[in-house]
Amino acid sequence: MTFEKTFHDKAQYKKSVLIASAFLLIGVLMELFFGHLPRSLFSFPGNIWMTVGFVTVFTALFFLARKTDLVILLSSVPFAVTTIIILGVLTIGLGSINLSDHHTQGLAGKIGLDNITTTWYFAFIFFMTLVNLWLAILKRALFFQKKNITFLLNHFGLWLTLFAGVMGQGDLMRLTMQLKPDTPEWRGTDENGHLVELPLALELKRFKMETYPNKLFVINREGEALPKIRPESFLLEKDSLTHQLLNWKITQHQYIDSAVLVREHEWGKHQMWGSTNAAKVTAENLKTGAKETGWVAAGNFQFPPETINLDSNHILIMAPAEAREFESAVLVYEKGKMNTEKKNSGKPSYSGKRLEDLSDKL
Amino acid sequence: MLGLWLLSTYFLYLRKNGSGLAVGLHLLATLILGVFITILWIKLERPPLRTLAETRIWYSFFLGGIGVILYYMYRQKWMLSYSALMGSIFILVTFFRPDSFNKTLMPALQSVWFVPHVVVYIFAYAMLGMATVVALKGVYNYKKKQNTDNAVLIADRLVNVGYAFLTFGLLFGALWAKEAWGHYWTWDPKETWAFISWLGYLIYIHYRYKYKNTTAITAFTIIIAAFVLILVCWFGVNYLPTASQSVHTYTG
Repeated sequence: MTFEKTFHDKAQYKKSVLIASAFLLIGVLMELFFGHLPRSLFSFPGNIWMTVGFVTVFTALFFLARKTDLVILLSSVPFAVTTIIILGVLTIGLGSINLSDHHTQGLAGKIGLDNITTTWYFAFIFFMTLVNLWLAILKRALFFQKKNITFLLNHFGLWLTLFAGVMGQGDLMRLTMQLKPDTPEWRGTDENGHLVELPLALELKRFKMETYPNKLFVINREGEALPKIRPESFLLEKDSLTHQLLNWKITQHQYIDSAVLVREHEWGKHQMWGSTNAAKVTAENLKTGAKETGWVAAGNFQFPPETINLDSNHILIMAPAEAREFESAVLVYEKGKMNTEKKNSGKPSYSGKRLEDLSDKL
Repeated sequence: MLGLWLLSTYFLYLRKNGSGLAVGLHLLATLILGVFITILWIKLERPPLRTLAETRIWYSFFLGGIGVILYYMYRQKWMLSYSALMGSIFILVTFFRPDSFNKTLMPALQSVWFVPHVVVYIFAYAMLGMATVVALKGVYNYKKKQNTDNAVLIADRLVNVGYAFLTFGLLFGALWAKEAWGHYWTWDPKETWAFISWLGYLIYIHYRYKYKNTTAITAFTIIIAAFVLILVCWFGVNYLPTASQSVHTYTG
């Protein structure tokens, strides 16, 4: 590398840092005075205009001023490295800062540290990255060589991902709907608690949840599962299994996945709606040899939980069962269309995907 | 777990033996680890890829494999022993701090993306971990005023391959997120840190592209720093103040 080139590079870094700092400063000031970025910028039709505008302006800039210092700088590697580093630092802030409520009122909250992705300065740096990528792509595309193909593909792919990811933000709406069996529902609540009316209605026909067997834990009087660092559990998979929790050896005698309270401290199997999970176990204190046999139950809205007092500060409890699989059938009503039934199994959020699939057709 | 203890003993014997036998033993140890993963998979009735301890076992397994491949490519003895040493450390950590191996797997994780996403990531981590070891040795060589060309070359190749896998892991994750949570990217703390570590290596690649002939020390430093970011993403995220918001904490 010649001296001249090194010198030139150093200057490029200097200028890149200067430009980035200026944008950061302006961004912070804008954040202070105007608050977060308006969401409307990134929803239809604003996002379409921004896309057209971006491509036109920067393609034109490139072809008109390809040889100028500015365009050379904006498409350079030093500029890329500078923006990536700043983007990285901002993202580290995003990934590490979690402001408590009273801090969000202070200066940290005002410059948007609790939600960096919606701030002006983040947007500016992101924008600089996009400009850098776009100009670099154009620069390489002009000199067509075989080895440039991979460069073009991965840089254009990245540009497209970043650009489309941001531009699609505003059009995404995340609604929560409460479905009750056999009752059509066409309203949802957005993240701010506003009611939104949908052009379709959903009716829950069936919902089934399969669970894993429950787990037993030992907790203290404060209700903390023990050991505190990594609570230990006993999965009640099969009767007559044993497992050691802290100083107690627990033996599983009988596990009931649909249990009801038959008399005080005793549970029996019953397929009643609202039944809970219970198990008869023996806890043997390995230090004293004392044994205690009794029932533990997870409890629910219908039945109170049942626990075993191991000693003055240790209680054996049963945690609510963890979900294994969901299955649901939902009837979808659309304006002017036949009703269709959507069956689906697996994750509960799949229903969200179904809805999205439908929204394409509307 | 006892089998694993034997395994690390195998590793330790490695350095005293002739190279052919050493490679054989190394391979055997790696294979035993592979068998162990298979048994774990069958016993748990789910892919053993959920908790940190489980990912550490995979990491050791990949390190073992990469060590052999590198040895054959570059004929550098220390690579084999370093990969064995690193693999042993990870196994020992897992041995002394095991997770309560449990079978439950929440519905969000029951997906075809689960295995490719995590395996690709752990493989990338193993590659980049080896690159970091090479970089550390490079720094040592540099300080001793020895030749660093070889270290630069090897670290560079490892980063390039590891980075490709890292990118695939990120993309698989995004596709899976779309399926499970309805959106490709939500700036969840784990996602955020995955992005940060990805940016770290992106900086390295651009730096290397621009300054092929300048001093190696900066390149080494970037590799080491980027790996620190990976470690934060892998283990550290659970301890950050933002962890409470994460949907990615599956430990315990």
